[in-house]
Amino acid sequence: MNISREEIVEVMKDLVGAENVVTEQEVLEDATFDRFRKFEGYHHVYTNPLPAAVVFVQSAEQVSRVLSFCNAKKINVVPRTGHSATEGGLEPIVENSIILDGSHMNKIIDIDPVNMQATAECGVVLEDLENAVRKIGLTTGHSPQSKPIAMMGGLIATRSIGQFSTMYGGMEDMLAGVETVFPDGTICDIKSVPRRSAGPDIRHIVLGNEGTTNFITKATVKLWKYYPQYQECLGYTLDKMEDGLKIMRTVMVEGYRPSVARLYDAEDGKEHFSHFAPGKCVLIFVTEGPELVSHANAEGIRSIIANYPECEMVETKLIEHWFANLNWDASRIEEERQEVLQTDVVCCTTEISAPWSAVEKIYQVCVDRVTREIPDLTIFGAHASHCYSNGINLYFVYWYKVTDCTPEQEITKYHLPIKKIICEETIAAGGSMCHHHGVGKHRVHWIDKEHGSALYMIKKLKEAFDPNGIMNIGTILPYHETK
Amino acid sequence: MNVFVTCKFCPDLDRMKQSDFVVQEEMGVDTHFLPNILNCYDESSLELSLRFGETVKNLEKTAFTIGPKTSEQVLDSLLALGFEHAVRVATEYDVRFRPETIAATICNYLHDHPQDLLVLGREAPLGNNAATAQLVASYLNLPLISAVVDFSYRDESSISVTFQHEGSLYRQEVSLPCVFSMENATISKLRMPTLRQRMKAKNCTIEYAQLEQKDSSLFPLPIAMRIPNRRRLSSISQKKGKDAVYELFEKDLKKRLEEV
Amino acid sequence: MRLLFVLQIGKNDTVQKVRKQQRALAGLATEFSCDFDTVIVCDATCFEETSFIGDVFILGIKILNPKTIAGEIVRFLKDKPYQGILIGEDTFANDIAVLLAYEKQLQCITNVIDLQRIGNSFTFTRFAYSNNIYVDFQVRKPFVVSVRTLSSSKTKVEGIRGNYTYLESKTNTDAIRGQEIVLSNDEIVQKEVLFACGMGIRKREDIQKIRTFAQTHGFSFGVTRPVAMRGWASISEIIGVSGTIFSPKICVTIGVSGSAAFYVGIENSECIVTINTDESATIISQSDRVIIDSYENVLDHLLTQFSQTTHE
Repeated sequence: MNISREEIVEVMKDLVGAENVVTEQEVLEDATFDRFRKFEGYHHVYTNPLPAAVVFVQSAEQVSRVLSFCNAKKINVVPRTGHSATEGGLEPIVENSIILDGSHMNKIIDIDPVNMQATAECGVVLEDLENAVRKIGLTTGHSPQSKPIAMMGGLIATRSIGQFSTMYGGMEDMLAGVETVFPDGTICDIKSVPRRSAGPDIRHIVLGNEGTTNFITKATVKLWKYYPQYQECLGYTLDKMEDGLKIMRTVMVEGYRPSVARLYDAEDGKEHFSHFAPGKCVLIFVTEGPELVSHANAEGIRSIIANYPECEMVETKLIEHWFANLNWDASRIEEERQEVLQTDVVCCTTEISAPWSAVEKIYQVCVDRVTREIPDLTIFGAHASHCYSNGINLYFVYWYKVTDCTPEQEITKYHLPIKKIICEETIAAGGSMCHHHGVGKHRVHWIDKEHGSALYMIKKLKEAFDPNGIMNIGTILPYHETK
Repeated sequence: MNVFVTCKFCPDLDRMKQSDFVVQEEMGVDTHFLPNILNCYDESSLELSLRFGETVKNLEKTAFTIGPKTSEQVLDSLLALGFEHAVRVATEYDVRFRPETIAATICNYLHDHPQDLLVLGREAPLGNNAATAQLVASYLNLPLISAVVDFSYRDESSISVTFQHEGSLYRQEVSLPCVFSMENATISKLRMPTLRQRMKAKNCTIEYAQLEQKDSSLFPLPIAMRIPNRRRLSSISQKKGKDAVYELFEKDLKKRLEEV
Repeated sequence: MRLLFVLQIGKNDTVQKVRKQQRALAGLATEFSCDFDTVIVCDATCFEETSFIGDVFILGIKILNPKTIAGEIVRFLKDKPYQGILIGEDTFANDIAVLLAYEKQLQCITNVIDLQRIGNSFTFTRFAYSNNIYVDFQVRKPFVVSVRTLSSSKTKVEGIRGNYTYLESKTNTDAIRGQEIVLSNDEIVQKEVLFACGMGIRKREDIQKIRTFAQTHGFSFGVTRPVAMRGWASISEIIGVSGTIFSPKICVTIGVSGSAAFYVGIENSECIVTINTDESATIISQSDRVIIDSYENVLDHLLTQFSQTTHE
């Protein structure tokens, strides 16, 4: 890259307008980290180099011009919308990067109740889209905990998944069409059709790319009819995680499709259910949809649980209320910041997926190893929240007190060693080291083991679409600095 | 030296929507579905006491609560964090609007377990009586420092205490024994015990004390509860531009600005 | 029936503020057909005899302590026939009320926000459940209450300047060996009017214009987080959960959509005025007065009216 930081800024101003190029110190510092390095960020320690600028784009054409320029000049571009990523995907790890921010592209373009889909720009907050479609009795079916702050672009780029996935699927099931821009400036519009067999499904080049091959500008997602009045909440306490996993498998294999299927172990459950289930695992199902469907699913699940006398029913209102307060918003993040700064206790997560035959072992091994090998833990637990006929995910949640180390040492002392145990044990047992948060920059160490021989395909995609390696360097594939 | 800290584990009312607040026949609001949290003032008291203990040799710390069995989770954590005593008054008695009973119960315990420093939260979120610390100080004839935001060790018989008054911060040197009423402190989060600390404290036991009922002759019980109407007017002007502004001032803002 | 008001002039309180408190309480006393006296607790060397109504007793104190103040009032109360004591809003108001209740065996309610008299019966209202519920109490004479906020009484009371008597402070404060001020709140004054700017403002210069106006007129100024993130304001100017919480008399939002994170910063405003082009924006239902129009059509007129009204 033979261009100075100042020159980059000047060109960006020409391309998008001066008012959309931000070089304020505080904004640049804030742009060097996402939730992975929150401990450092809360302490105003910025390990990554400051980007040259945060560039706000207003259209696909502007994105195209910016990417073309950066491609020619080999400037690293970090695509961003909601800034809620958790795995370091938003970190600019090389000097003089550009943070390309699509959050100002925030129009809901169309809601089509006949074809049951909605089109929104990349900067639309998911909760805003959901509220808009609910006004006409519809739902996107997508409800990750970050719903109040996450935006469409990032949700697609990370292959996100939400709380109702067991019924509505993940983002890969919801995305009907998408417009995206490639590093050479090409704008591609994948039309939304119910299904087609016209070559490989190219939506999957966009889905999960984590900003490493393209910048998403617009998306069309499917909609469903919203039947809140027929939702049924089922909650149970039980002693053993393995019993809960057996029940979940039976529910899925028998063919029932709740929208929500969640199982918390006692440790993770402490944060949520101590007012009614201290020291117990908690199993939650929600069914919804048309009345007969919702009720049939609920009855089917009840009949399965009836075979497990150790399960004790929980009052519905307790589950409903808990569920209504599950999502994260800006006030929860601020509360977290206060807590971290005062107590030096950090909460982090690693989510994996595993076939049914392996999940119990992965859970046990990870609990045993992490609690034995990692110092200063205050909580280590897990919950399962996304079920499939062929397996389930596990969401490990862990809190540790940062002791005798600087903010910048925190991830090497705690976070990465924990992640290493979880990722390696999961891959060894035949699972996947990342279920829905993306690889980011901090699971790249195991990407070769994750994909095995198929890593060839990931690398080829990167070579094909980003030959100059300017898109979100160090994400998905490790960065090797060339001399 | 010893320190006595009261704490209340109570429903997290911030998680309730306005529509959930329904006054029931028994002059209460159903909160059983809410998770419980430490009263914010008590959280500060507990954390400051732990920090205090890090600077004072052999400080004996007692945590005291009146509440249901779920409170014992907090007491277990406090024992793991190094509190020497964790005491619970097990009762179903409704103490929400009975600060005299609460104060009498505390004093009853203290009669057999005298303390140098008593730290009480300003008020608890259900009753909001803001009277317990003052009554305890009165019953025991002890000095009272109110609106406390921080305290630190000075010597065996005195403490340096910081309190706020009308937004300014003051520091006083206070003789022990003494009662503190804790305000909104900057230190507002209680630390968490590590897994190892929890393991070590597995054999520590919670102690139990008795409720001491006292007539609410000075503090009458409520005769009614009502839900405030907090809806905003949401009055949309039919005018635009200059006319809309003029109307806004004539109808509303001029009068408010006169009061400013 | 005779009432006693207890008011405190803190280090940074203005006498006007305490006078306003007295007038509000005096209006209430008049509505209740009660006479009243006033005790003012303050640093007696700084007290100005100005426009208080009725008989005023000045209690000078050096050491700030509620028990000390309560002790002095107990001495003052000896043989005096007050049927009710009302303690004006202050950091120590609740403490003094409860301490007096114990010493004089008076019925007590703290944090009162409303008072009603029906015959010889008094009903006091305060909040419970973290300010989410009103609770009413019936109280018999004699009583002591701390009054939290009292909106201006409907009854206007004009003062006949009364007598000022200076009380000698005798209560023992041996337990408190020394006092120093650590931080004076001179700088931490929130203004009565707040201007809040959101992403609906299209030009950086307009943000600056509103900021300058606010500063020169002694108003507060803040922005939504996205405005700071686009570099048009500093992070310290953010309103809401990740910034400052305000409780002004008047809050004017311009181009603000009304996200929950922002609204927390202004929800305690007495009156929220909103300028927005979008009638379906969340902020609309959360405001008191709304102008649906482009801010460019409104801004200059708005600022002019503020300017004229506050200079009148």
